[in-house]
Amino acid sequence: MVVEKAQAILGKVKFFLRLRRALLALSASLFFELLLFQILRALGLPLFPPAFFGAALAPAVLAFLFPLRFSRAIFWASRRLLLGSKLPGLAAALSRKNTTFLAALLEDLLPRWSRLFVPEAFALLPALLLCGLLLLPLPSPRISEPALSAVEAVSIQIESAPEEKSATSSSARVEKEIPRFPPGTSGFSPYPLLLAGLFGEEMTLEEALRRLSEEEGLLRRLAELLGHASGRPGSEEIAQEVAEILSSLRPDLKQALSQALAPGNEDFEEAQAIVAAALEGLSNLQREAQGAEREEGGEVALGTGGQSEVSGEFREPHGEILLDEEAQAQMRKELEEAQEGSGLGAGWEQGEPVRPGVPEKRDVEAEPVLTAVRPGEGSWRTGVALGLPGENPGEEEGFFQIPPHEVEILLRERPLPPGLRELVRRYFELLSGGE
Amino acid sequence: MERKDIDRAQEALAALESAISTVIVGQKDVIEVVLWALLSRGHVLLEGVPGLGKTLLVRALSRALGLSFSRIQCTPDLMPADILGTNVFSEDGFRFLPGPIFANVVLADEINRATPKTQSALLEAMQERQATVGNVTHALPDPFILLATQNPIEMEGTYPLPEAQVDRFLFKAEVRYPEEKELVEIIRRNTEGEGLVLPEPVLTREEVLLCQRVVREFPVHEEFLSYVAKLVLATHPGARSAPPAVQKYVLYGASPRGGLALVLGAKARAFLSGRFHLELEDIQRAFRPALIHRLILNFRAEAEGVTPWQVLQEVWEAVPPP
Repeated sequence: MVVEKAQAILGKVKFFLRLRRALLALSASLFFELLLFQILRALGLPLFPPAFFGAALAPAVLAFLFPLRFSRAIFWASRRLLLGSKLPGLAAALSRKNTTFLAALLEDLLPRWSRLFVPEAFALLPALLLCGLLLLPLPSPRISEPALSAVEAVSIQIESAPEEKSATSSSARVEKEIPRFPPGTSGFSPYPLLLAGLFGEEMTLEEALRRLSEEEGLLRRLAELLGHASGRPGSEEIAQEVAEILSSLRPDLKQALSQALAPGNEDFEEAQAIVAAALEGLSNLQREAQGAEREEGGEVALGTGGQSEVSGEFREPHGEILLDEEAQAQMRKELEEAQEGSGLGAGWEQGEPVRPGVPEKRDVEAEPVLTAVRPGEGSWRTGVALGLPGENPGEEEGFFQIPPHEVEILLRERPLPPGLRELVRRYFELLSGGE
Repeated sequence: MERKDIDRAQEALAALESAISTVIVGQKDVIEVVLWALLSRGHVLLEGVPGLGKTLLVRALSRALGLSFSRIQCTPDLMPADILGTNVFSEDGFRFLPGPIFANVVLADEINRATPKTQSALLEAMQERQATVGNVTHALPDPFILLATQNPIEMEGTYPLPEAQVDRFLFKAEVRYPEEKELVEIIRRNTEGEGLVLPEPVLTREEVLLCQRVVREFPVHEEFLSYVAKLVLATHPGARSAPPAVQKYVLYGASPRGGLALVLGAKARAFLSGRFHLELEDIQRAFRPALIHRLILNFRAEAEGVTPWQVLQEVWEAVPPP
C-alpha cells in the first residue's frame, strides 16, 4: 500500500518534471518563431505559412520524451515543492522497500504540484505578447521615392476615384511617377505660361486664346496671299500685305517666314509649308486650351493627363516613362506614321531608329513652332540650362543651352505622339530639374 | 521493526538528551556528537583542556543509558594488560580477568599519555569489539562505545596518537571553554545543594540497540552518498576536485572511514531531529566532527598556522551539493 502510494507520488514528480521541461521548450521555440515572423512581417519579406508554427511543438515533444536525470532532478523538485529533501528520502526508502520509513515519510506528504510550474508558466508571456502583436496591423514599409519625385515641375494632376487609379499596377506606377503640381497650385493652368512663351509676353488664358484666334486669322490670310504670290511673283501689293501680316505675327514665325520670303530669294513653297504647319499647331493648341477650359472629366488616355478638379485645368499629356504594352504599340505606330508621312516632322532621318535624345540645335523648319513652358516652372527654373551632364556651359562649340520653353517648341515641332513627347520632356527634366 | 518502535526510540533519545543536559551545562554540540557516536556504533575522541566536564559527560551518559561504565586513566606506565585484562592463575587454572575495556561505556582519559603499545591495545577493541588476551579472543559487550579524552596543551611527556588509531575514532568533538553564563551555572551547581546528581536511566540496553538499528536502516539517497564521496575525495591533494588549499597544505586526506562517519553522523542527526529523511544540513553539521581529525597537514600548513578546519571549509565550498 505504502509502496504503491510512494511509487505514485514519484511517478507524478517525473511526469510534472517532463511537462515543465516541455513547457519551457515550447515557450522558447514559440517565442523565436513569432519573433522571426514579426521581423519578416515588418521588413515586408515573404512570410512562412501558419502551419510552420506547428513546428514549435517538436522541441516540446522532444523535451518531454528526452530521458530525465531523475536522481538529481528529484532534489530540485523537492526543494521547489518546499519539502526539503523529503522526496529523495522517499525514493531512497522505496528503493530499499523499507515500508516503515515509507509510511513515516508519506504521513504528512502533501505536495502542491503547481509550485513546479509557477515561475515557468510566465515564460509563455513573451510568446503571448508577440502573438498579440501579430493581431496589430503593421505600417506599410516605406519605399524611398525616387529622385524624380523631388522635381516640382508638375505636368498633370491625377484625379479620379482611388479605386480606378489602383486598378492596375501600371496605373499605380503612373500615379507614383507622374510629377504633380506643387501643393497649393492645384488651380494652376500651364497655358498662360505656355502661350506667354509663345508670344513672348505674359497674358491670361482668355487673352491668349484671343491672340491665338487673331493669329489664326492672320495666318489664313497670309496663306491666301502666298498662294496668289506664287502665281504672280513680284506683286507689290501682295508683298506689302505680306509684310504687314508678318509684322503682326509672333517673333519666331516672323523670323521663319522672313527668311523664307527674303527679297530676291523667295521660296513660296517653303513659306506656305511654314504657314500650314503653324496653322495646324495653332489649332491644336487652341483645341487643348479650350478643352482645358471646358472639360472636367474624361478618362486618362494614353499620354493625356487625368481629371482635374478645377475647370480650365490643362490636362497636360504626361506620358509616363514606363508605358504598358498597348501604349507602347500605339506609340510605335504613331512614330512610324510620323516618320513615313512627314519629311520634316519626325526629326530623324528616315529609317533611323527612334530615340529620345538631346535635340540638335538647328533652325526651326517648316513645322509649327509651339513654344510651351513646362507647367510648374517658376523662378527655380530660371537660368537652368538643359544639356547633357558634364558639358561645360559657355563654350560656343559642342554645347548648347536650351531654355525649357524651347524644349517644348522643339518637342511640339515634331509630330510626336504625346507619350513620346512626355518621355523626352521627362528626360530633360531629370537632367536638370530639381537637382 | 515497526513504526511504534521507531517512535519509542525517538522519544527515548529525546529524554536521554534532556537528561544529560541536566548535568552538563552547555556543550550541546559535544553531547550531540556523543549521541551520534552511540547511535552509529562508533567512538569519540574528546579534545579539551582539563576541567571542562569531559569525564562527567561520559559518566552522565552511561548513567542515563543504564549501561556499565569504566574509566581508564592513561599514564605512561599503563600496560595493555591493564586495559584488556589478564589471565590469572587460580585454583581452577588460569582464569581470565577482564580489564576495564569490558564495559558498555569506556572512558580513556588522556589517552595521549599512554604509550603507543598501550594505545595499540585499544585498536582491536575499538575496531573489532573484541580483545585478544593470549590466544583467546573475548567479545566486548554490546553496545560498546569508547570515549577518549585528549589534552591539547600539555604535549610534554605525551605520545600523540598514531594516525591509524586516530582514524578509528568516528568523531572528534572539541570541548570548548564555557561562556560566562554557562560558567556561572557550573559554579552554582557544584557549590550549592547536594552538588551534581547524575541522571537516572532513561533508556534500556534494548532501546539503545533498537536506536542503533534504526540509524543503520535509515535510507539515504544515492546522490547524497555520491556527494559524501566527493567531499572525502576532495580532501586528497592529488584529486582533481581538490581545492587549492588541499593541494597546498594537506599531506594525506581523509580515509574511507571519513565517508562512513559523515553518513552515519548525518543519519543519526536526522533521526535525533525527529525526521525520517536526510537533509543537506545534517551532512553539513556532521562534516567537521567526522573529518577534522583525519586530515594530515604538511609542514607548510604548520609553519603558516593553517588549521584543518580552514582547509575543510574550502573543501565544503568546492564541492557542489545535489
